[in-house]
Amino acid sequence: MDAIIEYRDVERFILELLSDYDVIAPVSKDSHYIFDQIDDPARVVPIIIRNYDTTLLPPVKWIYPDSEVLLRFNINELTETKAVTASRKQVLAFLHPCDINAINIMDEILAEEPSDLNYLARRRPTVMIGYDCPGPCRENILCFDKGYHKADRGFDLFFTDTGDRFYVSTATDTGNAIAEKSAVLRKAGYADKVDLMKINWERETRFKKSVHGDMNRLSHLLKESYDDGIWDIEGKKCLSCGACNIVCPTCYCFDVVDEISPDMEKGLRYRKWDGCQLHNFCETASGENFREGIAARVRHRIFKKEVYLKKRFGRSGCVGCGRCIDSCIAHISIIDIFNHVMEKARGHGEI
Amino acid sequence: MKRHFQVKPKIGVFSFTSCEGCQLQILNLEDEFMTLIDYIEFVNFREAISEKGEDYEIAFVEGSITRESEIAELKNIRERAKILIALGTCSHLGGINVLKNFHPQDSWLPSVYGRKDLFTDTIRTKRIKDVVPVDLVIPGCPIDKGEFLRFVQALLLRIKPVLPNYPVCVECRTKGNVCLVEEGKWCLGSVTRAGCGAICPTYRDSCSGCRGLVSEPNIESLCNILMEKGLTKEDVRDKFNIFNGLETINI
Ligand code: SF4
Ligand code: SF4
Ligand code: SF4
Ligand code: SF4
Ligand code: SF4
Repeated sequence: MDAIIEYRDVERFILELLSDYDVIAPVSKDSHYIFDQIDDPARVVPIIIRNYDTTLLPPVKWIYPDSEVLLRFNINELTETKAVTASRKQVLAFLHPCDINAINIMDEILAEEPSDLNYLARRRPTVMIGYDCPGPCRENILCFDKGYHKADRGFDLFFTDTGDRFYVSTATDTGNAIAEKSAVLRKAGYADKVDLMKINWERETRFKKSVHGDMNRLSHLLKESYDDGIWDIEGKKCLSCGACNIVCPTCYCFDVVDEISPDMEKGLRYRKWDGCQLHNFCETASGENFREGIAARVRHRIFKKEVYLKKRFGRSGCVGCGRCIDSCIAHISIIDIFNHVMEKARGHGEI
Repeated sequence: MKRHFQVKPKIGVFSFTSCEGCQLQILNLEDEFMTLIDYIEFVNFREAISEKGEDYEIAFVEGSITRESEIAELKNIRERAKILIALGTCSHLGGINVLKNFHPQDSWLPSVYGRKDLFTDTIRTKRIKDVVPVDLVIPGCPIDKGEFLRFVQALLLRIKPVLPNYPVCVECRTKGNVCLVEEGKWCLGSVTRAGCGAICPTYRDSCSGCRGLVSEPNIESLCNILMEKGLTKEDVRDKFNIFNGLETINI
């Protein structure tokens, strides 16, 4: 059932969610936004009524936390070793389409055999509520170039702002059940549906392309630019700080560390986020580092998203949220790099 | 069955020129400390015990070397200890004690002690590695007490303790902090070894590099970035000098 909710009732709706779930939603942080677990809907409502720009960290962090336990063990009794997964009933609420698309990509990557049990254990009971992004939320974005500025799946409910109320689309049984249970949603009528179509159409006119050229050719053009001078130029600027990896909603690499209790008996094996831009990422136990130069690492991050993941899954692994661009203090921008390879191809008469 | 570590390694904790804050961090382990002494024996640790044993195998050395007499003391410790570990920035990098090296003694003695002729028994600040070979380093001003615990545990298990070799930015961004450099301020977090949980930027203060540099810092790029924010090369050098005054940093 598609439904309508008035602005003034959103608080009530969030309270309804809170009675059944942990709710994770966008809140303000130092003139930016971040997803946080909330118990007070008043922190969220003003934000979704005026739209918010992309959060500092992506919401997928709540399914793939920066640190999580994989194993419990006893250093004296190896037979006591136990694999650990964790999950809880949670709602990720008011996610922009780019972030939903990013979770769709993560689902695909991490469900591939051998699947990531820890991710799936948290993902399965997670309810997702999408939130329409009415137009470019920031300057350095390329979601529109990639068609990731709207989401057609991956959510249970989806909120679209229609001026003084939200149109709530339901996409799954869970979404329907939540909508039907709610005391503040009413069934959408024909006029509401017409409003929604209008808004969806208008949205498309507000976005502009950031990359000038045919995105379908990007993967191919990057491959042709494997030895281009741009990697050395960007490599000289790159600090190997890993910020671009940490903030990216589709980066999933991790390192494994053990922690032992002070009494030298019990141990926990964790995974912690890692990133391909960090110097030790490709270092092996022998000390050999097979992706040593910074330029090679900068190139790898971009090839990972645009060439390797594209080859495996048929679509780009970057949703164009622009977090990596905004968080790079060295001003390394995938938009600039993509425009460079497009420009070069134009110079060669290729496009 | 509980594993028995046959012998309790004997440990000495020593202090040279410093605020002794790093020793204090060991005591700040509190609960863990009482468990720890089931496995190790402190034979010399001024802030904690009155014994002055000399039969230690592992020496943790805090503080930098700023007096002639400290050189012989440190060499004596090195001779007795199988493993010598630098404890904290003073000992690892010279720390803030190095600041005096940049000014003639005559200029700072009166401003620190009120007169020129007190405490003249002072030499240019040295890191302990400038005097004796150092086996391992626990960095930080002050050290992270959890890192100290992990080092002791690694030594008990006979594995090599490792420090992160990624920069503070990783911990800072993971916490969802807003970057100070993005806000136009200075920060050395992008070239500084992580492990402190990015505590300074988390409290909105710049990282001044107390844990030392990562193995391959891109100083040139960071310098360019900070100059865009209005710092001069000399300013950037001064920021590095807060803790890294004796390191080779080409600016
Ligand atoms: S690569 Fe950059 S723009 Fe693409 S999804 Fe990751 S953070 Fe967003
Ligand atoms: S954020 Fe920028 S400087 Fe840092 S690793 Fe990524 S590309 Fe390099
Ligand atoms: S490193 Fe810092 S906390 Fe430790 S002794 Fe030196 S000044 Fe004190
Ligand atoms: S504030 Fe400092 S440590 Fe944090 S991300 Fe920015 S440069 Fe890195
Ligand atoms: S943020 Fe920088 S200055 Fe602060 S404790 Fe960490 S390494 Fe030291």
